[in-house]
Amino acid sequence: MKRFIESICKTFNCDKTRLLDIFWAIQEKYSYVPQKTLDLLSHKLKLSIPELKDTLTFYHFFHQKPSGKIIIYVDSSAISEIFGLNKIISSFEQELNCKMGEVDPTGQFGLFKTPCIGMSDQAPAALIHGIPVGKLTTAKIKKIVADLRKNILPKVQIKNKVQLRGPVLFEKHNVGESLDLLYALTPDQIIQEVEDSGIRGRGGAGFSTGKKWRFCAEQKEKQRYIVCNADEGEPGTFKDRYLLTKNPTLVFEGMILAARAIGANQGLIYLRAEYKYLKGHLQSILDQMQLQNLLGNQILDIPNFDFHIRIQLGAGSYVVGEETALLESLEGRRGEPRMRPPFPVEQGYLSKPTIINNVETFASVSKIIKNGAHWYKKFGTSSSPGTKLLSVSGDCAHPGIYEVEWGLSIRQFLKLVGATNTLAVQVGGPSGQCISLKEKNRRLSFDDLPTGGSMMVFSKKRNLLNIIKNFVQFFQDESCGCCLPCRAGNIVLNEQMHAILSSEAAEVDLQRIQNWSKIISASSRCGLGQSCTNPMISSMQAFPEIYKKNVKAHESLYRPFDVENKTVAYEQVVQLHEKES
Amino acid sequence: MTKNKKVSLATISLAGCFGCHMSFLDMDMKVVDLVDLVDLHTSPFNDLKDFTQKVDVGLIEGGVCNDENVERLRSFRKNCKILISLGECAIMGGLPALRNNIPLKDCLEEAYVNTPTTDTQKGIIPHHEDIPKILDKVYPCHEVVKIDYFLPGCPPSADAIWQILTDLIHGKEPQLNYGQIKYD
Repeated sequence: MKRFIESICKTFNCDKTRLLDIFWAIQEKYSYVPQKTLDLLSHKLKLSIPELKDTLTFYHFFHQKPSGKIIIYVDSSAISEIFGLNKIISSFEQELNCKMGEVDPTGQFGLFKTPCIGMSDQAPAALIHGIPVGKLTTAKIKKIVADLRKNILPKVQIKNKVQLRGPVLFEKHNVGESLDLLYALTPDQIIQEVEDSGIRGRGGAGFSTGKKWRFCAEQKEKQRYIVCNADEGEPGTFKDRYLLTKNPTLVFEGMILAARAIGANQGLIYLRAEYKYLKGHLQSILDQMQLQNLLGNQILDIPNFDFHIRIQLGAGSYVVGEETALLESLEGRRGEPRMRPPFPVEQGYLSKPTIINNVETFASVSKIIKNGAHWYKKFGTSSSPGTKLLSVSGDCAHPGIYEVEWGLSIRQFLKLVGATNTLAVQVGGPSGQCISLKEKNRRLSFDDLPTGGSMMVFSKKRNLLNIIKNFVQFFQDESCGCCLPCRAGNIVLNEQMHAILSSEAAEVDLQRIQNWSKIISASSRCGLGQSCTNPMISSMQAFPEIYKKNVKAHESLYRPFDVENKTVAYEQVVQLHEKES
Repeated sequence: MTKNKKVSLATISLAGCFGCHMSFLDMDMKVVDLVDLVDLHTSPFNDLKDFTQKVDVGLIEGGVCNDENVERLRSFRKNCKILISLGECAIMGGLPALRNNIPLKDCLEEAYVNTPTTDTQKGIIPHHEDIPKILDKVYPCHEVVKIDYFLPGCPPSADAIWQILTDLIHGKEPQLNYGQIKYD
C-alpha cells in the first residue's frame, strides 16, 4: 500500500489540488478509500487527516468502507421515480441479494442511490461500474447482473435522441472553423463580438458572458484560467451530455477563443463523475486537437498563444455546479461555495482571474465568433438572444434534445414535445419553477421563465406532491451544510412535505412553509439555498387546490409520536445486559 | 383571554436542569406582583403533581427523553389552553440531545457500567416497572404535542418570562423585543 500511495503522489507531484484524482486512484484500486491510506497521504501531501477527510466525506462517490468491487448507482431522480424506480430497486435487490445502500454478501457488488445521472430521457437508469444504462426493466436487470457475475460489464447504452435541430448549435460546422477567425480578430474584438451578441450564461444564472470576459480581461493579474463547467447536476438535464458526446470540439473551440480573449494559457474542464465514461473520449479529442495545432503551444502558429486543457473529474456533488464551489473542488477541497466578492473573474482558480462558463455557453460562443454577433441576434428575443438547448423528459411523446429559440411559449413547447393530458411542467429543474397549464402563454426567456435546460413534463396521472417531495429530499441531501438556513431549513421543509403527504399537516403549516422559505432563500449563501424553496413555493402557487386537499383545516394538538416504538432500543439494551449477567 | 382576569399557570421541568425555573424565580420583587396576577397550579414551585382543573398557561422546561416525559407533556397539552416551550431544551432538545448521535447502548453503558464510581463488580442498567423508559433519542416538545409559543434562551431571562406572562394576562399577543432575545 505504501508503495502504491507513493507512486500516486508522485504521479500527481504531491499536488494538494489534485486530491480528487488521488482519491479516485485509491478507490479504483481498493474499491474504497481505506483509513490507512489517509495516514500515508497526510504525510506525503502535508495535509492533516481532518483536512483529507473534509474532502473525502464531501463527495458521495467516495466510500470509506468496502462498498463492492462493482458499484451500482440507481438514479433516484423524480423522472426515474415516475417511471418505476421502486420496481427497479427491488429487482436489483433481488438479483444482487442485498438491500439498497448495502454490499452483497460476497462483497462483490454495492447498491446505492444517486441523484440524477443525466439520463432522464431514458429513465429509469443506473450507473453500473461507471457505465450508464437506461430504460431499465426487470428482465434487463436480470441479464445485467448475470453478465456481471461472469465479469462482463454492460456496454454504454445511451441514445442521444435529437428531436429538434436548431439553427445555432446544429448549424454545419467543421472542426476548428471558428478558430480561423483568430487571425483576423484581436482579443478585444473577440470580447466585443461576444458582448455584442448579448449571450447570457447557459448554466442557469444568466450573467452576460461578454461582460464576464471583459471583467476578467481588465484584471491586473496576468496569470488567468478558463474553466468549463461540465458538472450538469440539475436533475432532468442531459444537454451537456449530448454536446460532450457528439460535438465536444465546439465546446473546446469556445474555450480556446476565451483563452485568446483574456490571455489564459491553462483551461480546465470540470467533468461530473456521472460522465466519467466520457473522459477517455474527450481526452482523445483533445489529443487530436493538439496534433492539429489547435491546442498546445503556439496554437495555429500564433506567437505566444499557448493553451492547454485538462479534464478534472468530479466525485458526485450537486452544489459543485455552483461556480465558486466548483473552484473549491478544482483545488481539491470540499465543494463549499465561497463568499462573493471577490468574484471568480477577480480571484478564481488558485486565486487568479478565471472565466467559468457552462459547456453550452462555450459551444455557442464558437458559433458567435464564426458567424458574427449580428447573425446570432437574429434568433431569440431582444433580452434573451440566441437559442437554448433543452433536455426534455417525463410524460411526453418525444423526450430528448431540442434546440429552440428563446421566446418559445409553454403552449408551443408542449405541442413540440407531444405532451398531452399535462398537469405541470417543471421549468429549469428542481431549482426552477413548477407551472400549471394556466401559465401556458408564458415564454422561455430570462425575463419570464429562465431555464438551464431541464424541462420535465408531468401528466395528470402523476401525484405532484410525490414529485415535489423528491425535489425537497434532493436539496436536503445535496445541501453542503455550510450555512444554517439551507442545512436546517431543508430538513424543516422536507418534514413539512412528509406531513402533507401523510395527511398530518394543517392549513397553518402551508403558511409556515411560506415563512420558512422566505428565511431560507433570503439568508443562504449560494444558489442552492436561494432556490431550494422554489419547488414547494411555485407548486403551491400553481396548484393551491392540491395542497388544500391534502391538509386539515385545524392543527391537531397531538403529534404522531409512537412511544412504544421509541423505547424498543432501551428494552433491547436492558435485555442484552440481563443475558450477559 | 379576557383582560386582567387572574391567569392560572402550570409549569413543569421534563428533560431540563431546572435552570429555566430558577430563572423564573429570578424575577426578584416582580414575583410579588405576579402573585396578584397569577394562580399557580401544577408546578414544582408548589409541588402539586396532578391537574385538578384546566389552566390557562403551561410552561414546559426541558425536552422529552423518556416515556414519562411524553405522558406528562400530553397531560399538560390536555389541561392547558396555551402551551409554551420555555428555553433551549424544550425548543430543540438542548444539551441532553447531545446524546442523539451516540448509540443508546454506549450512552447507558458509559453512565451505569463503565464509570469509575460503579461500586458493584458489574454495573446494572436501571430498569424496573416504576422507572421511566429512556427513549431512543431526546425530542423537542413540539414533536410530541402542538406548542403555541417558543420562549428562547438558556435560560430565558426572568424579564422575558415576565414579559410573556404579563402580555398574556393583558390579552396581548406575546412579543419580545430585540434586546430580550439577543444573547451576545
